[in-house]
Amino acid sequence: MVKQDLAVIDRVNSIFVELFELKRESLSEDRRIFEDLGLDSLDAIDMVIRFQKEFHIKPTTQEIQKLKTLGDIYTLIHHHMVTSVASAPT
Amino acid sequence: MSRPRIVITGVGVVSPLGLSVPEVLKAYRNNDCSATYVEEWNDKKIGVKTRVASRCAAFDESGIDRRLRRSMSRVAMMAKVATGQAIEDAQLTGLMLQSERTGISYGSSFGGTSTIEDYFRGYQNSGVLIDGVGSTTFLKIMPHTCAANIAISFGIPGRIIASCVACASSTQAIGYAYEALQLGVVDRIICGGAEELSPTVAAIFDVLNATSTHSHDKPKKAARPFDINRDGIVVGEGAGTFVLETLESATARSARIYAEIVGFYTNNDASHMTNPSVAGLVSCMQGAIENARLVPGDIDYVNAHAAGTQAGDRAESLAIASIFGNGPTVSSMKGHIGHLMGAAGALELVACLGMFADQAVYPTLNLENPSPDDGGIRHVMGEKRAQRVRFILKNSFAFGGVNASLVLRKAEGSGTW
Repeated sequence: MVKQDLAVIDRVNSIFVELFELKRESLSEDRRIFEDLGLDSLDAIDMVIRFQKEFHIKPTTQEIQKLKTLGDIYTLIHHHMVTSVASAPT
Repeated sequence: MSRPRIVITGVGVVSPLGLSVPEVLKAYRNNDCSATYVEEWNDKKIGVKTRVASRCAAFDESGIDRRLRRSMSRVAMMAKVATGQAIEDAQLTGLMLQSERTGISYGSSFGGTSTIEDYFRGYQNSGVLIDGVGSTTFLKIMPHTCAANIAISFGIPGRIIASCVACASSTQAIGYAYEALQLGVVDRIICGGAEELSPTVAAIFDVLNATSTHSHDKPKKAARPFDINRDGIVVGEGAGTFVLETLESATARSARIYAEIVGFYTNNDASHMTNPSVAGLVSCMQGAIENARLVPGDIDYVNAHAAGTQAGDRAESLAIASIFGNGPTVSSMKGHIGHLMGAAGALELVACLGMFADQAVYPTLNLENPSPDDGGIRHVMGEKRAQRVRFILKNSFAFGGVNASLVLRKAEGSGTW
């Protein structure tokens, strides 16, 4: 199990509720973002733009293309946030 | 050479006077006015001088699916809802909509102005030029946003004509629809125009001292076209959509016919961006009458563009007087509904359909003392006036010197609204 952060999960879910008008109870880590949640390529762009602003992260195109489920998103954001903190100047 | 006859078989509206055609016609007939005081514009960060506008306060976009709504600014949402009404009214079938022989001709002054403001807010907040840009920003702003969103919303794959000529946009779009049908390149066409209200739109007229600024305590009296005490434009928003088809097509499917479009002409002054040319307006109206194969004496009533500005009202009055003398009756609907810019011609055309039905002409609301520089045209003042209404000349004029005029004929047996 890849480590995830409950606060990140809550913030990601809130973004999905706001941007894509989904019900919070429909969001779980196994849900596929295109097939199950109904997003498409335009939604995916807005999703990434929002993540960049909300979490101050810069995922690569390859990382974004690998995202399949909400769980993948939770993990990616958690990873970037941890990496960002670890590499911050002390 | 004989030309196909073009008729209106469906109408839909989103307007400050109401969200359905019967509501809007009731308001015109009752001399209601939709202008209100805009409290938010007191904010110094908005910066406009006018505080009066004509807004679709009751419009609710929540019924539009998110997948469609995400690429729509308010202008396209209103266009979509008005078009849904028109399609239902015309009883177009799914097969008709899905045909490439069904076209769309739709206009607005800009596209989504509120999205432009959102874009600048993003820049203002972060200092990064493109920070306000998302995947659908352009789709909401683009000049053909209404036409493209209508096409996707209703699955219409035919040609798109997107007029983008400021306040003549909807009249020109309807005229181009008429011409496309006459050319035989479509079997039916959805046409009209829309505009959304935002401070950015108001500012365009405001900076030119063309908005109403002396009637903030009496917004219902602010728009006074042709009056000696006219106070400028009351900006507004809305959408009006029509379904046009040939008379042959409408008759074959027993469609209800509201009116016939018999003439259209458009030109430009090629002289000044904002000061209208009397000669240009004369040429436009005469062109439409000639296109209708009529003579000026055939016109029973002129539905004027007159927005309540000194220069615009005067030039149009003189142009009408030059063609007709003391001929047909003349009125402007902008006292009732304000100036809906890209939607103005469409919502004023709805009034014309009511006049055909009533065999009466509606007055210029708030016109009490006609300006003496009006060339002696025959104003309609006070209450609606019963008269024969067989042919109507409908004008729309715009910044950039663009002029557009339609000639409408009462349909046989029309009018049950």
